[in-house]
Formats: sequence, structure tokens, C-alpha cells
Amino acid sequence: MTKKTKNKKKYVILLSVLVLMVGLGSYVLFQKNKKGEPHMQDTINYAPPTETEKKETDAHKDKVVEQMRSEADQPAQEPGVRKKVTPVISYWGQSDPGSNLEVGGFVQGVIEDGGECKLVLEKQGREVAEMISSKKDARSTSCSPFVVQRSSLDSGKWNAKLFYTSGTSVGESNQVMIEVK
Amino acid sequence: MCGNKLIQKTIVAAFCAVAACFLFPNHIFALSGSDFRAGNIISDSVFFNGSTMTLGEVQAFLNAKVPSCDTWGTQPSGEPGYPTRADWGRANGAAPPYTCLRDYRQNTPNRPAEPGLCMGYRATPNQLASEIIYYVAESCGINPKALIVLLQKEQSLITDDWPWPIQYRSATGYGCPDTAPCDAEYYGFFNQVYAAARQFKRYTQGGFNHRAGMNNSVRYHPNVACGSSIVYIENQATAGLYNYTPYQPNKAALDNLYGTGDNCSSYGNRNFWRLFNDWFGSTQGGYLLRTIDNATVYLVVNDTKYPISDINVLDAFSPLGPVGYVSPQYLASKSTGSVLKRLVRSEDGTVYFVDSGIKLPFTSCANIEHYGYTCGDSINLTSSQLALLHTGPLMTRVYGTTSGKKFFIESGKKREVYDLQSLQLQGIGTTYNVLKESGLNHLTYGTPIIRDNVVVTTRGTNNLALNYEGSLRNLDKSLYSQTVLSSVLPNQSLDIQSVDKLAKAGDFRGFIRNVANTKFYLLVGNGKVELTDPNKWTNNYQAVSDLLLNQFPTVSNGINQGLIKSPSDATVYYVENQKKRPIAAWDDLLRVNANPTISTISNYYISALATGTRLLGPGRLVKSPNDATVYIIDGLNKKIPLTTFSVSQDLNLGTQVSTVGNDVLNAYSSTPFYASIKIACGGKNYFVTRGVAYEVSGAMQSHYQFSYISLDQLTCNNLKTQVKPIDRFIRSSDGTIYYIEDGKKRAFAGFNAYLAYGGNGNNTIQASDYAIGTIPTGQLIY
Repeated sequence: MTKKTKNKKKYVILLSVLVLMVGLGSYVLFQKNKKGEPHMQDTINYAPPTETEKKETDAHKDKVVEQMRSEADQPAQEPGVRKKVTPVISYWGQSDPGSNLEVGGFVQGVIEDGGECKLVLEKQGREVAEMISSKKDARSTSCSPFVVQRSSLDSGKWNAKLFYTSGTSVGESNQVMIEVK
Repeated sequence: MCGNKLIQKTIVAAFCAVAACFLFPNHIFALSGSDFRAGNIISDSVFFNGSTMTLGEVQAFLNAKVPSCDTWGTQPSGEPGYPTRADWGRANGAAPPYTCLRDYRQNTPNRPAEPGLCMGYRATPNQLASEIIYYVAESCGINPKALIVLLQKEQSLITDDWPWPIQYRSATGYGCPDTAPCDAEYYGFFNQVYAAARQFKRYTQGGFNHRAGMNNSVRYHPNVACGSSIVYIENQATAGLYNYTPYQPNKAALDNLYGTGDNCSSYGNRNFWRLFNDWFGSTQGGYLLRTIDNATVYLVVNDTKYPISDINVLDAFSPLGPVGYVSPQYLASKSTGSVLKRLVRSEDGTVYFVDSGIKLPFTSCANIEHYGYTCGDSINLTSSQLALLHTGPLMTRVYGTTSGKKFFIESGKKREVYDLQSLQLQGIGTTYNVLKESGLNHLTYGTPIIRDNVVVTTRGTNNLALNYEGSLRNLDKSLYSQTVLSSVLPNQSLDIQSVDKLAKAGDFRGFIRNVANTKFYLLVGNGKVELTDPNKWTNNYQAVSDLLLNQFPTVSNGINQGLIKSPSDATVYYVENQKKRPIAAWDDLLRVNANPTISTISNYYISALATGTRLLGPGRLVKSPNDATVYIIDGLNKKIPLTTFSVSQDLNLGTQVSTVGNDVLNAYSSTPFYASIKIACGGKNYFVTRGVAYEVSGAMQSHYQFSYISLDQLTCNNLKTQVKPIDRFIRSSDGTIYYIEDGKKRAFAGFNAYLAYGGNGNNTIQASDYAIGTIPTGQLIY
């Protein structure tokens, strides 16, 4: 058999395998993407971690080191000095025009119950305020929900801010514009 | 040579690419950042399904993700100055041995059951991480896959082959605020997993930082300067994820889904979504759920499950699917509501009818009641669920179906509509939507809405009826299809249940008359034909209003000749005395009418007329098979016995005799007289010989003293004889000339005597010997 013939044979074999694999792959992809069938949450990928997953895992170790150092370096809270925290207004709205206004927010950097959350709405110099107690969340302090009586607000755009005060922390949020209908 | 190498390399490269697809399926099926939906990271039905993995599957998964644990940190650390992981670990207070999650054990504490949160936990010594994940998932109703992904995205614990104690300590990040130390109260793997699962459940009770069913301002990063965007959070699970980790991935993070973005990128929720998809498939499940063992599908709305008992209702709500399989425990955690009907209600109180994934608003409870429901039958869907149903036009009282029907819905009944004109005549609006007929399965049929003077086909059958003066009259199919009825009157189908609701009034007869009883008609293909002799056809005519009658144009054709045939048969009939008499031969037909017009009429009329006896042509010579007597057919109903062919020859009827059946011949009544050459036709007397009919009139009657037989005019028409006036001179075949006088024939003795009496070639007729023999002989004339 000449070299040319051998090469030709090799090409044919490689091409055939290639076509077979593409066909098989397409079938599997089709099966995976088939719509209209009952959705079974029974797929489990038992493959070993991908290279990307391994890299992410390794990179996380750096974050772990950072976290450990950060915790070690964390200064003690000075008595009487409240830490600056960041309140955030995260949602606001009315179920329909004319109904009460509901506003929600949280405070980053602290997890505690019993702090004072104060929502202040301001429009053309007039202020409406509501206060609720904070409650612990997984990784923040919740200041939700505020329910502002519609009767205390007139329609239009109000500037809203969330203030937080507790024995250990204090902060105010950025201002957001809330349209009251 | 170079070409061959290039081809070789190309094929090998392509091979490797395809092989990689199989070796690294995650990447070929890897998501695109554009698939990420900030408002719906994971469905409620997926996130809150606590039974998606067996204990064995959890352990097998942990084993698979750490095929080899670097217990002693012998692998290179990658940190300059610290050759091994152990070196690096020691330098950071995390010396080996390292316990991988697959092998991790701890004593677990009791936890009390808290209704609405978790079902508690039983203290167990030396439990594996897989057991903790499995049992916490079960207790708190959180998908173990979600807990696994949480552990990975917070601390990479699933894939870390040399995890440090701090990673177990804060395994889910619970109690660890941004920019502040973690709360030691929640330290430890079990505490972390249980607290996180419990908190996700707690979020479902509301009152936290992000709200499902509303627009939320979701930030991209802890740095406020990175900004935020408004996200409509569609479900509670997604709201919970944002409560836990209040950041969404920005564009840079999504564009590099498996890598890093920019300084404003956060990865927590992105990685949750990505990892879940890569490891366990789609995060999306619908609101239509069932268990594997029970075929009942439920629509789940918050904490209530509504059983669906009708496949058509399931189809109506299909955009809320596809149907997903969940654990029995998950479904049992939902209270069971009423059987799902097609009515849903939005937060603003609007009630909708649902069909084919569309919600159509009702304008009032009164309209809802027409549809057989009450306002209270509606269930409240969440905003997200409602949004999945396309909003259609207002629900109308007229309901059109995809199968082409229309119904007017009234007082819990569906009244089938014949056509829009029927609606208009009753003052009902004609606007309608087109929906599936199954949407009305719960309604019974009412009386259909139909106008007069229309044809109704009972759907699914060949039955036709004419709706006339408020009642249905059966309509013969051939009467309809073979006459003007099919071209003038509309024909629509109604269901048999609708037809059953209409009053019935027998059959529609095709023999019609006006109400004044002055005109009588048959229907033909292009109109109605007025009958000049209605009793010839029938004595039972159906009165028809002018309104209907005037829809049929009056046309003329030869039908009044009485010669008819059907469209599907060649037999010609003659109509007489309300019967149809078949005419077997063309000759017979011409003997009845020398210029026939044969009218083709509907088979209905052919069938309606009784069949009479076969019609024989007037003037024909016939006999029966078993009798030698020959008859001349006289008119339509008589036969005259023939004693000699001399008569038929003189009458120019020939000698050809047809044999016909006894039944046919016996239908003709026999005359009391024999055939004669002395006949009366049309009131005139004739002496017929050698095919010439000599009229005997005036003074000749005293000489030709005959008895004449009266023949039917039809017979007379068929004699085909010449007609001439008669004189007194007759010549026989032997040349003898006779003079007729006072009823006798007197032969001339010689030619001179003939001439002396005034005989000549013009007044002397040639008669047959038979004819001459019928005249008594008188004295010779010399």
C-alpha cells in the first residue's frame, strides 16, 4: 500500500468518526433541549469539576485568606462610637393607584434586631416619615416593610431616604425618587 | 504535500473539537449570559422542592466533585515561597489534614419544629455532610441542589479538595455581613446549612428586603457607585436569593459567564444560576405540578394547589407550565383549593376567562353568570402567573370556536348561532372572540338562534331541514340539491343538540302553493314552475309564504307537457292522474307528443309520484304473450280489438304488432266495439281507406250511412293519414266504380253510365277491397 493510499484511508476514518460524533452530539443536544415534555428535575451532573470550576475554587482560597486577615485585623468597636453602615431602599410601590405605599430596604454591614429604621419622604418641603424596627437577616439588617398611608401623601414625585440608627450603627441611604399615584 | 498536511491538521482539529464536546459537555451546553433573567433566577417549584435527590445521590455527587482529596496538602500551592498547599495552609493558620466535604462529619444538634419554616432536626452524632444537606433540605423544604450550589458559590466547598476550617465555619455565609465580622452564633457547617435553609423559608412569609411581584431596585455591587436597575421579581425564590445576596450581575459579569467582569461585577447570584444549570439542569419549573405516582396536575399559587380535573383546562393554562414533577411532600405542603375552573382574578379585581393561554377580561359579574360561573369561582393568581397569560380582548356574549361554530351565551346555556344575520335580527351584537369549543363544555345547549327561511344541516350527518315559520321541516336531500333551494337559501350546520331544541313540523313538500291557493308550483334548478294542471301531479300542496316564495324566480319550461325524467336516470315518464307512467320506447313518446319537451326534475318529485303502468303509444298494435287478439291502443287508457289487418292497413297503422306484458295490456280498458275504418276524430266523421281519411260531412252523410267509432285525439294524431273530402264515386282494385247512394254501393255497368252520373278522376276515390266490402251492394247502374 502506498503512502498516499494510507493517508487517504486515515482521512476517511477520521472523517467518519467526526461525522458520527457530530451526529451523536446533535441528538443529545436535541434531547436536552426538547421542549413540551414534563420538566424533570432529575438531572445530576456527576462529571468531575471542570477546569473553570477548579480555577474558581483555587481563586476562592485567596478570598478565604483575605477574609481571615480581615477578621484578624478588624478593630474592636469603640464604645459610644457608632459604625457607619449603608442603608439601601430596595423596593417601593403601590398595588394599585390610590392604595397605600409600601417601601422596603435593608442595611448593609450589620446584622441586628431592634434598630430604628426611618423612612422619610419629602416633597416640596413637606415631609412624611415612618419608623419601624429592624430585624436580622442572613447577612444584613432588614428595614422592611414600611407602609405609608396613602392619605398622608398626595400624588406626584417624592424624594425618599432611609435612615438607620442603633446602638452600634448609623447610616442613611441615597435618595430615590418615588412616584405616588 | 502541504495540502495533505493541511487537510490532516484540519481533520484532527475538528476531531478534537467534537471530542471536547463529549468530554466537557458542560461547556458545549454552557449557558449564555443572555439566558440569565434577573427577575426569575429560579422557579419557586424548583427551589422549594425538598426531595429532588436521594441521600445516595447527594453523597455520590460530593464524591464525584472531589475525585481525590488532598488531605495532607501535598499538591503544589502555587504561592511563591510556599511549595506545597500544606505550607501555605500553615502560614495562614490552616494546617493539614484537610477534610473534603464528601468525608466531613459532625455531631448535629436538635432543632425544634417551626410551623411554616422547618420541621426541625433530630440530633445525630457523626453525621456526614451529605446527610446534613439531605435532611435539612427535607426538613425545611428547600431543594438540596440549591443548598449544594449555595455551598459552592459561598465557599467552593463542593469542589475544594483541601478546604480550610473557616470554609466550614461560614459554609453558607450566613451571619456574615459585608464589611463586618461574621456572627459566631451561626458558626459551623450544620448551623450554616440549617440557618440558611430556614431563612429562605422565612422569606416566603414576606417582610424582607426584596418583594416578589413588584419592581425592585437591585444593585450590581456593594459599592453604591456601581448603581442599580429596576428588576421585576417574578417569584419568591428569586426574591429570597436577592434577600440573601442583594446584587445582580452586571453586563460585564454576564458577558464573561465563566470568568470575571469588571470592578462593579458581583458573582453570587450569577454563579448560583450558572452552577445550578451546569450541575442540575434548568432552574425553571412551571406552576403546573404533579407527583410521579399521581397523575393529578395542580396549579400552584403561593400556598394553595388547585387540582385540574379537565385536560382542556390544563391546556388553557399551559403557559404556566410545562407540567413539572415534584415530591409528594412539596405538594402536601400546599393546601388544596377547589377544582380549577377557567376563571382567574388579578389584584385589581378583574376576573378573566382563560383559554389557550389567553386571559379575556369579563366586564361584570353578570356576564360571568351568563357563562355559568360566579365571580367567586375565580382564583387569585400572582402577578407573575397572570403575566404568563396573554391578555386578550373583552369576553363577549357571543363565543366563536376554532371549529367554526358560534354560540350566544345566556343564563348558563350555550345557544348555537346559525349566522350573524340571525343575531342581528334578534338585536344581538355580532362581535365575538374565537376560542376553543372546550371552553364551553360545562354549559348545556339552549335553543339556537336562527332566522326563518334557511336550511339547516345537522352537523355530522346528511340530515337537512328548512327552518320555516319557526319550525324545522325535514328537507329531502335531492329536493334541496337538485332545485333552486340550494342556490337561493343559505345552508349552515348546527349541532344535533341544537337541532333537538327546535320545534319540528314534519316534512317540507316540494309541491308548493301560495297562501291564496291560486298558484301551484314545482321547484326546478333555476326557480319555480307554475303548474297549469296542478291536480295532475298531486292534491297536496304546501302553502308557502310570499316571503319564501318570492325568493324563487318563476321560470317556464315544458314541464306542463307532463314528460319528466330524473337527473340520474334515463327513463322518461308521463305524468297522469298523480302518477308517473314510464315510457319505454322513443316511438311511444313521439306518439304521445310529436314535439316532446322532457323536463328533468328532482328525484324528489320522481319518488313522490306513484308509478303507474307503462304507457303505450296511441295507435300502436299490441297483443299479450298468451292471447292472439291484437289491439289498437287508443289514447292513453283504451285498447280496441282488431279483427283484421285490413282495418289497420286502411288506417295506415300497419301490421306490426308488439307483444307487451299482460299487466301492461290489462291496464288498458277494452272498448266494446272493434276497430273500424269508419272513425270519428275531433268531432268529424271519416271513412278511412288506403291511408286516406275521407271526411264524411254534410249531404254525404245520408249516403254513407255508417256507424263511426270515436277515437282519442292522440290516436287520431298518429293515423298519419291524408284528409280529403269524400264524394259518391269509389273505385275498387279491379276497376269497378261504384256510386254510393242511400247507404249502398251501385256498380256502374259501363263507363258511359259513370260519366253520365258525373263521375270523373277528381271525385272518384280509390278504396281497398275491404273498405268497399263494408258497404252493402245496391242495383247496377246502366
